[in-house]
Amino acid sequence: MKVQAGLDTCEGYANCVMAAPDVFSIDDEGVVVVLDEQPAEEQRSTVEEAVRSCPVLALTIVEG
Amino acid sequence: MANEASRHVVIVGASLAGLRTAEELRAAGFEGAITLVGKETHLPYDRPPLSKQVLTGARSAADVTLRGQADLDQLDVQLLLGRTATSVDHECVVLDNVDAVPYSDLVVATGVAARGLANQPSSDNVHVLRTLDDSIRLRDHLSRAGSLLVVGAGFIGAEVAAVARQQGLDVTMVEALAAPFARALGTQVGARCRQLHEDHGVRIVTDARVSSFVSSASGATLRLADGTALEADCVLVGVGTTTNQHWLSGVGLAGGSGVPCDTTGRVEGHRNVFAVGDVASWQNKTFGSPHRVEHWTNAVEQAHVLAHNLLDAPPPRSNHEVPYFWSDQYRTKLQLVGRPDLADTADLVELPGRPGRLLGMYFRSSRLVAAVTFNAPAVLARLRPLVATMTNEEAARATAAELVGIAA
Repeated sequence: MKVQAGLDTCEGYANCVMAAPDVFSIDDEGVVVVLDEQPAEEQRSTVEEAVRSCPVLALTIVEG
Repeated sequence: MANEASRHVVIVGASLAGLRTAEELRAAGFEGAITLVGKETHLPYDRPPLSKQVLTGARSAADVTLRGQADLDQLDVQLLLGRTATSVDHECVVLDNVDAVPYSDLVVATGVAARGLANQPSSDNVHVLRTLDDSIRLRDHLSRAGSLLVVGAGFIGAEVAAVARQQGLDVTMVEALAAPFARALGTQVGARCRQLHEDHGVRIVTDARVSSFVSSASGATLRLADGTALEADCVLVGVGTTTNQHWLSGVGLAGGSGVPCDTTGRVEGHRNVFAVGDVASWQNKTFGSPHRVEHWTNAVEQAHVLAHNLLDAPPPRSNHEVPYFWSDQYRTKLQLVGRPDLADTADLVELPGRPGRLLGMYFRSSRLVAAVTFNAPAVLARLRPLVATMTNEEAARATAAELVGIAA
């Protein structure tokens, strides 16, 4: 599982940080920072929650 | 429970909460039938942009569509648009007083409607803002108006005021209470929100008692009890909402403010009726009392929990008990977690970095029940778990200090 974030799409709502704080952070400008681009399979449910809860659909999971 | 394939889940309300419930049911493997009923004729659309980018013209009506017909076909969801659920019994939902749709499970996702003032005139110059059509109508009016009067200092009014100021309109905001935004944010943080608007040239009138409200060909006039007359080309009334639950009298749920549910969305006293989103009042273990939340994230999180419950699957991990909400005003991003309304004390600290970064924390009996930030999303995100556990004041302050690099 690989995580991609659209930095131009991100508006800093931080839902992803709330869902998966080990995978996502946010910088002082309010733009997402992917801390772990290839999270372990155990993180799947929290990463899926992050993707699902992004109000601007800035996140995607790429399988493989 | 009936064989799953023979189940028919009827979801009434095709906005975010209803749509996400349909998607979550499919994601959880549900193979029965799903019908999604929407009163409006638009495809399901996203509401947060209605008081922001749609008004500025940065996003069109098409840009706020959440899912197209092809997406719903792919999900095998039958979408009935332009149909109003007018009544319900224990077996069927009735649409437009005529067509009975049988259900095995009913999901109530009918949301809320904008409340008006008792003496509000019916006029093209007087607006509420809830639907996409409302937003388009207001956008068109703002583009040709020179002045805006906002009645009610809440978040919808604040966001519209910010857009109007950025478009150069004269803006006056009228609030019944002494402190604008205090209902949602408390007096201290509310005062900073007031300052933000005043810094951008909004005139704010508080303690306002409306004595008359009349429209004319070119605008409308609000007269206050103290004799003040406020005139504007365009008026937005943003004084709260009422729940859309009157159609539920046949199952005993038409009364009250919100449909009462257990902690996972099942309606109390019902085996196969559920409620989600703005209309639903879920029991809440964190804060100990049922609560209704009219925010985007709540709808998404509740839909996830509800779908698992409806399918008798184990409850998923979820943050839904701690409400999260954001508002964009000018260049300030205001974000809030928890329940400021429960607090007995609150305080506010300026954060380092660019001006206008703030952190407010709200405590009840020295436990953290809410936090708000201006332009500090990273800080806010990290405080949500602390609100979820109602961390004690000392530990909350220490964590906040660590997060923002300030003295505790």
